Amino acid sequence: MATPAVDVAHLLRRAGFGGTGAEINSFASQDLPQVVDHLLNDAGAPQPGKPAAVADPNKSEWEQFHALGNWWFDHMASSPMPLLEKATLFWHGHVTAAYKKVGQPDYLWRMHATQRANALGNIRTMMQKSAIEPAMLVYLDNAFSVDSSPNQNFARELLELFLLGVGNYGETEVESCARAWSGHNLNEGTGQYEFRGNDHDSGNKTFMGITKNWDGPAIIDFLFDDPTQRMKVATFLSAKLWSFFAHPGPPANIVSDLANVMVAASFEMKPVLRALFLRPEFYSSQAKEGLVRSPVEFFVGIMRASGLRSADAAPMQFSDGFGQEPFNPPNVSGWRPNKYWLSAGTSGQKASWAANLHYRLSDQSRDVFRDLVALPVPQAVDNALARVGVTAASPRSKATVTEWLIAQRAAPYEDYFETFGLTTLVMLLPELQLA
Amino acid sequence: MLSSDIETEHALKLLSRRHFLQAMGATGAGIALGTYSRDLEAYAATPLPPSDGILVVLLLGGGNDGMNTVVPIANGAYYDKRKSLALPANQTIGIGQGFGLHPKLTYLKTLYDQGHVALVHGVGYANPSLSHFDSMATWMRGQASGGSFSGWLGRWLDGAADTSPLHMVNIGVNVPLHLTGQVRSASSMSPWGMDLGSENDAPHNRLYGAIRSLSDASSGLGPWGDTITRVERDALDIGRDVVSVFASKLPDGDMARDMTVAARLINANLGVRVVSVGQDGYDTHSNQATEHGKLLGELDAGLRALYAGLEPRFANRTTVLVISEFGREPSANDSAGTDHGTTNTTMLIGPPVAGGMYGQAPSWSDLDDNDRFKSSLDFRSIYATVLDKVLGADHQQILGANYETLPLFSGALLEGVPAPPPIPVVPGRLLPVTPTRKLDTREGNGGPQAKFQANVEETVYVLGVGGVPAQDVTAVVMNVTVTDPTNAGFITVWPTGEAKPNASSLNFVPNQTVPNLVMSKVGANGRVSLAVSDGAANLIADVVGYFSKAGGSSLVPMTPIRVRDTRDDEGKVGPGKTIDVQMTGIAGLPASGVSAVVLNVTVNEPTNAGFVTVYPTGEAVPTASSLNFSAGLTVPNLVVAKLGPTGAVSFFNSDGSSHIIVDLLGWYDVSGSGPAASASSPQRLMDTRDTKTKVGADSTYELKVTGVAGVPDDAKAVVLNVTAVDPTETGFLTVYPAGRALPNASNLNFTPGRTVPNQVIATVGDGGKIAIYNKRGTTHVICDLVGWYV
Repeated sequence: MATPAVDVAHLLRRAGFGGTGAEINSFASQDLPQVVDHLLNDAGAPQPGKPAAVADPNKSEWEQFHALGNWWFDHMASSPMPLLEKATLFWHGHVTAAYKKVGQPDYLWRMHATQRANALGNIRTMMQKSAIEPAMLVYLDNAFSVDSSPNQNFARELLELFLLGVGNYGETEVESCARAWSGHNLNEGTGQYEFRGNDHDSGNKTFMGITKNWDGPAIIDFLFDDPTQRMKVATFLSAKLWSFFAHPGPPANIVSDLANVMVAASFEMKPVLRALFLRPEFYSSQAKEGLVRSPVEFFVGIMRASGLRSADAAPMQFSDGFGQEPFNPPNVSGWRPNKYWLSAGTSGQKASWAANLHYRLSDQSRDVFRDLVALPVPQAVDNALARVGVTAASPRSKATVTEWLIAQRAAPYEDYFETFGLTTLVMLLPELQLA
Repeated sequence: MLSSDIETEHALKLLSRRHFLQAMGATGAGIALGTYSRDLEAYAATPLPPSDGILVVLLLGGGNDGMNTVVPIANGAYYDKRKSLALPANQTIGIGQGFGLHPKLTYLKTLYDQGHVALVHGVGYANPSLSHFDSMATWMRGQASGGSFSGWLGRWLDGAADTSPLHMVNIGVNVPLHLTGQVRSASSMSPWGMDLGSENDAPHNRLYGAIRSLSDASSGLGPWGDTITRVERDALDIGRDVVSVFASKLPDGDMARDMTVAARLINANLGVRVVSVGQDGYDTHSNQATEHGKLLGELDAGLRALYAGLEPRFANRTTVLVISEFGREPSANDSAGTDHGTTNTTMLIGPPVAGGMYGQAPSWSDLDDNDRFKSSLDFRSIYATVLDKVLGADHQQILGANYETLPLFSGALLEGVPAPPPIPVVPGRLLPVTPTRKLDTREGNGGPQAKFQANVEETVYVLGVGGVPAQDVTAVVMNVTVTDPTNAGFITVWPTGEAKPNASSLNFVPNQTVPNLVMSKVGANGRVSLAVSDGAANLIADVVGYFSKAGGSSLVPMTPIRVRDTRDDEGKVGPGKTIDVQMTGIAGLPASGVSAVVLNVTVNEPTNAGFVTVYPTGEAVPTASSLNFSAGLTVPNLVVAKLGPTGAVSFFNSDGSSHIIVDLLGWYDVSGSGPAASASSPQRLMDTRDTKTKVGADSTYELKVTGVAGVPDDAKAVVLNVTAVDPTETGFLTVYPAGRALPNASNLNFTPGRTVPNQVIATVGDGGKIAIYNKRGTTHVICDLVGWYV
């Protein structure tokens, strides 16, 4: 049974960064479970090694950080397995660390590699491994947390932001969790996680009503094993997954269904995502209209469709101004959706980015729309839209670009302005700002 | 914390207040490329009410060493622990009470001596974090405890009535946490300029029109799609509104530059209430003496730039709050620097501040377990004070708890704000009349039923009818409208019998309908002459008032206040419908003694071509128009409106449905003795062609206008015909009082090679001079005097 093209287009945008017209048509001939299974099949996914620039001693930390970001942009733009990139982006914002506190691009890369390796794998494994990543140890201050004065930063966020959510634990749990994680430190000399038994609090601690000698990783395991706690974890994460892939404000019945799938699948990601993408509500107008593209999605969507890469699109140069720098979230809660991506300053920055892109490429006679000036208006408009990934323009957007181009071409001595104007106008179309 | 964070519904509720839904309903499915003009849609920015306090937050990133900023020069322990980093007392700038300022803070000292600096000692919070990130987040969040990740000023913005995107601005490219609320966040403005919306040539305006038209009707992509197009429209408006901020060169040095941007932004009167500026580099672990001195020198230059740049009416109510995430350790470290500390000295600066020292300086011997200072005052007490006193808020609601407030403000802030300077809008002792049509070439009213032809003089008789007496009238005020012009050109209005001046009363392009309020001396036989410069055009002229030797009402200018906006609740005014707006007894106007008001009336999203007539409530609708418009266009016009017996003014809409927005700019006091107008026959004051030297790009030419050509030394304003001749680029001239900040306005816009004149009422500035600023290219400038006000 065929799948409606609009549903395929929506799925490809959310489970990745958008598809071309040809991809959409090709998938539309298959039934939905087939399409979803295809997207979830990461058997051939590339396993990238550390980007060379991150290890380049001639680069400053800041240059390495930018190189790391640009590398990921290019990888997201070219990967044959975009859902893996999207899932990695989800975890990147959920269990996060920021360059501005951690520094150390090498640490950031290592945590990224860990999350990438588990992004479509097991959530428990993801949590356990992320907890002792050097970037996490530094970011949330467990690096030097010792039994005499355990630092609560990581312990609190583990419960509040990563696994349970506010209201599902008390201050006793935070204190016990902090003590349980004391001694799980960083060896700055080797740049590796290190358990220091002498600095670990091995006394009895009370966590969720159970008093014993809790250890940090055992607390994570308990939350994934205990029948009551694991349902709370699954509910918390299911709500966040639906908010990220479908729309914020997830309906309780969907969250409950996904949480049951998650528990039954022992916290494997793929069955949960499969259930999520097969929900009829995922194809509702509330979902289709419910998310604004994050700046990373904006850049990658355009880069994938146009073939532009970081060297030209310069995403890291503008991502701060757009409001989302990969590897540098504003705080431990990661990034927030929708309205947070929309401000006049951000729109102004997008226009500046479009201008910058135009001028940079025109200097090299490689302007992204350069060849369109020779085409009649309708074809020029269709090509321009397709080239940046707008596969179904609204009548209003299409008419606006068309009427503008007709008027622009009618103005004498202003042909120099056409590709600049077209780049700016197209990049600001609402279709490109929606996820 | 992440429970769907920001509810779609909530955010959209907010946006609907920004007249978005009305916009959607109005234009339906029709797609029309909107025009985009700098002069139109000026309503987008709502000026700040005159009594609102303004806050500039200055964040010192890295942890400023408060002890070497406000130095405890009488404390021996400071010298013991700081060793070589300690500043000798005789190198500091003494301020008494055992303290001295860092030697680089010379301007701060000046302000301190004027009583404009409050230094609050011992500020911090319990269980302080030594992490830059965590501690800055604590300061930015400003919450009692827990709660979501949002900033204290952002939460204030959530509840602010003014929904303008410029109400809170960060100078930078992002929006930091303290300016991010639950549903709203500040706008960010790059200190290098806002490109989108800033250009004003034909292809850019065409492009902006296309971007703008995306928001004219629903995107068809759902609520977020509609929000996106609306926000892009905001960006265009901001880019256009802040052109003046970047119109002239900004000073060197990041702090002086950013603070100058802040000052110009506030001066632009766009409703800016909070500006945030950041300075980084205070993490002085090593080589502190040099680095810290350099930073404080830049900080001092920034403060100087801010207060030097602010117009007095804004400077008087602008408070700077200087904060940092933490102070430094008491002892110097082994690298001639200081490590992360706790307590700090917080500064509040500005005329509203009650200067002096507050709080308790921390002890150098009673330190905490880690040998760091103990704080004696929670920083949220300062926030509470600022929220209550500067921003007129309830701090408990925003901070989540009740904090002790401090007497840091002189108390006059929210009451006795100095009156703003006059706006030069038809001052003089005016006698308003019900609008009376003197000319309408479309109808054959006042002359033949035929368009004016280029350079053919036509005259109209303005005395003895329609409430204007036959004698003692020196000048009339008319609303002149051009419609259906065949060419681009301008209208000249002058006293009959005198030589036609090289002056324009309004400029137009083909097929445009443009209204303008025009003042003209009355010439021979009680007549005024009119002519069109190019092609042919219909003209409409309505007399709305006159000046008399026998006296009249004098103008009392005010900071503009919006008194009616049908977009708020009531919806559009239908065809043939009238709305009444009470003027007396509101917005600071007295209950009686008001003869007329000066209004900026804007018609927004009219469905048909038509006109609005503004007239005294209680009278019949006169045959006259205050504002003519075409379908879909937004048209503003200055209107002088006589009041009806109950002190109200009526607005009649002729055709279709339109939103009407009414801003009150001033009123005429019948008992007043304000500036009196004197009309003069044109006299040339300046002509750069004489010296063959054009006015250069981005430069200002100052011209002495008092004590010359019969203008008395005490003239408050002059009326000039200013003409640009042979400009080399598309640009504009701005005429403003010498010695004041360049305003966000243009008096005369030109394109290459064209000669463009315009009539300008210019307030006299320092030294009896006016300043003429040229934006781009080079151009000759001619100034002819036609009148003045004393």
